[in-house]
Amino acid sequence: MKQHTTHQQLQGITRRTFLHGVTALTGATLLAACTAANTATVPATQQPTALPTTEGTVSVTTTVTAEAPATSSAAQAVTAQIVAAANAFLATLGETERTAVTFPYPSDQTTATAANFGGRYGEQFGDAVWSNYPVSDVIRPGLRMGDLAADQREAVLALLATTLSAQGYQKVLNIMQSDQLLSEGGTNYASGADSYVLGLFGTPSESERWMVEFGGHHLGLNVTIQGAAMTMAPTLTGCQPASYTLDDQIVRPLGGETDKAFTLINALDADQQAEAILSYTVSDLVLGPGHDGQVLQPEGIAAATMNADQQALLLSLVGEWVNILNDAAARPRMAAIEADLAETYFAWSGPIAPDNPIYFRITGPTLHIEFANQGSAGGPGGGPGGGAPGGPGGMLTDTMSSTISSTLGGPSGMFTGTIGGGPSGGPGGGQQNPLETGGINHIHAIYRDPTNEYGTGLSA
Amino acid sequence: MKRNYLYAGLFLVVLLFTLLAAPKVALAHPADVYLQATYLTVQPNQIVVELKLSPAVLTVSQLLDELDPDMDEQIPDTAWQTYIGNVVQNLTLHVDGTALPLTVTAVETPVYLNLQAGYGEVRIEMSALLPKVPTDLTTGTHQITYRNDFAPTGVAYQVNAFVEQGADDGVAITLGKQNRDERQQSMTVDYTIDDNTQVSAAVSDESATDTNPATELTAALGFSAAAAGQGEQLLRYLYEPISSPLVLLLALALAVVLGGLHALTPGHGKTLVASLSRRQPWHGAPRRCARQYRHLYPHRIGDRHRILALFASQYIVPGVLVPALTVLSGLLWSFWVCVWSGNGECFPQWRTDVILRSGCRAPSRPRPQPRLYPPSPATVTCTRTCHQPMASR
Repeated sequence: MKQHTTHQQLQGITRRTFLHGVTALTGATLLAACTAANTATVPATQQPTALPTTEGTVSVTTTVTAEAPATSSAAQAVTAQIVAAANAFLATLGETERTAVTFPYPSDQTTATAANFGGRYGEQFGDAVWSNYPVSDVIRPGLRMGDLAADQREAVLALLATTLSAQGYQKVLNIMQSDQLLSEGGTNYASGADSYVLGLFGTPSESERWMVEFGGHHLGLNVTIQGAAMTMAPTLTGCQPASYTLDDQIVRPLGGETDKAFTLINALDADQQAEAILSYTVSDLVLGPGHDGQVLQPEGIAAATMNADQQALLLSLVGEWVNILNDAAARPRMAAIEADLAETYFAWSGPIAPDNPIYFRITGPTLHIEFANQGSAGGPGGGPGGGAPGGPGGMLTDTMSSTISSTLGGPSGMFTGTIGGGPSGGPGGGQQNPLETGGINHIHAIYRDPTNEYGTGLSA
Repeated sequence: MKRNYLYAGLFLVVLLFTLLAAPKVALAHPADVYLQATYLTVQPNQIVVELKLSPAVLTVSQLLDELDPDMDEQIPDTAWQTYIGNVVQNLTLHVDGTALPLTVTAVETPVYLNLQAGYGEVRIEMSALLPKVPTDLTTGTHQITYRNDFAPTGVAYQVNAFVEQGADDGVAITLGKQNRDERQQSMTVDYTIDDNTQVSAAVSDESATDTNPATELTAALGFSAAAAGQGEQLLRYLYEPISSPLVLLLALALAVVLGGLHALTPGHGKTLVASLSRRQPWHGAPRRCARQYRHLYPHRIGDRHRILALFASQYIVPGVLVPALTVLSGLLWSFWVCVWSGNGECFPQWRTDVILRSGCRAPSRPRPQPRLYPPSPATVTCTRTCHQPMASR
């Protein structure tokens, strides 16, 4: 009896030890993850602000010129500021770095060529590379933000702030912030603010043509400048996640585009919607990187058949892209688009109810915009789309929740919430895990000007 | 007994939480779509068809099964040739009801690792000459009908028609409305080539249609199968020898750890290893008990488990199946660890419902024999691993 009791005691001790050991190991792992997450600080993204980097935050004190009048002299003045900012950046670099960031502008090239990067496609214009693949998959020419010193990063941000409008600069920061948060959650590719790359093509000049290229996975800016004229075609904007909370504020890098698009489609009457909504499902961008020189046949509803309010909504939607560039360049551009409004078309694919994955396209004589939730546009029709509904929101690790709180309501923390939520911040049931693929939390959008890609149509 | 249930439940909760709370790695593009995007470009003498195949990570396995059946991460040109030939055979292009043969003019294939990761794109460029006889399709208005019947799992289609931009041969080509079906699997579109322009002679060469597609495909592959790119250059670094012994040791240690973690996922024979362990608790068990345990032979359970997983993985989205199997695998592993350690009571409900069919208790470690000289009947203990009433002292 005594031996039996001892053996039972040994069994019990072994069992308890095993279970306690597993529990302790799991808890220790999670605690370590929590601790690591809590050390990551993300500053607010208000006006030119600190940008998160792995080395810490960088403060930016540059102010943006507001309300630049749309005159040639004003535009020339802005060009001078951009040139000064570019030269100031180059002055912070050593000889090797300067060589790594500057490339010739291909004056003799009129279109970009489709380029194969180990099976991933983009387009190449001289040494410039435009792609919607991560920078680890398609190498961008130039200097990586993570490889720059603090003062050099400041100079890059100052160049961007001078080149872009306040709205555009904030959009860029929001996209980078979104990528940074995604990076902290774990990706199988290079991501985060440090992965963004700046390249200069040509010599910064107030008269000669040159180009600034800046971007990462969800941003591909190509700003070409020649004297007072400039263009940002082609440009890629995107985000994943599409919505996050930072310092108690909901940030939606492409929220303006999304909301205005839903407002426009719902502002159309039934006949107009039938005309605008494509009869087929669109899964992805059609003229993404690698399709320079191709012009998509206009489809959808012609702006000429819209009333004044609807046309204003359409122009406001277009402005989400055009107004990324500084005001001096954006205004004449918007004026040109408005002049061609009669030949501009708006096409839609997916549900018209907000907070659904969609695709839409705006095409005009000098304009091509596409917006695509990645891989999950619904089927035809005006009601809830035929696409597969999103699954329940995924779980966040404390790595995410320490910097983001749930937008779905309820307590924040490691067990609840998703990155997401619509404008109302209401329950996000049905939304897919934004860290996974597809759905409304992953957006790719392109902006093209078939007559002036990479500034090939610019004249001073 | 109650505490056993409590511990088991607590363990399950912790395990499930650990699995579900683990950070999910984000992917750059949708993972479950095999996108096939077709770009038709109408030129004065031909129609160029560019087909981009983009199998995402959850759909690429069906492609790799055909291209790399031996899983040596090498795809010979002949495999690509066969696969692309199969794709092209499922494409049909008609103009005014006349089928035009598609000739492959260029192929670009991704490097293996990119393809496997779901980021690779296969580009197939084909052309279909517009004949002038018996009907001159190079002038006037005609209708193109295109259809893609290549339908792998997870397929999504796109098809768009274009006119070549910037052509300076004086030919004016206009396209009519593009009519697609709901899935974009097929499309019809009218095109018009200006009658007043001088169209260069483009007599459809009958011999060209007799060209062996395989030969042309092979030639096309020769240009681009060895897809040189920045990504491939980076991948070459992986094959460079490691010069530092310390780095090599660290890399090996890391590989062991990562390999071990990877082995925890389903399909790596953990239960089979457990079944082959010498520390089988039924070692020496009576035949009756052994028969009971034969019903629970781990390798049979593992085989059924694996077969079921392989079968189910064809129909259940892997994103759902794999996590579930991971949990199940972990549970099975934990169960057998308990059995190894002699704690047959780790999961008493399992024991009760399954093991105790003949009343046999899960065997524990062989009990140490008492050292009593001479053995006293009152102190002899049962040496059989099946629980026997002990002789009273």
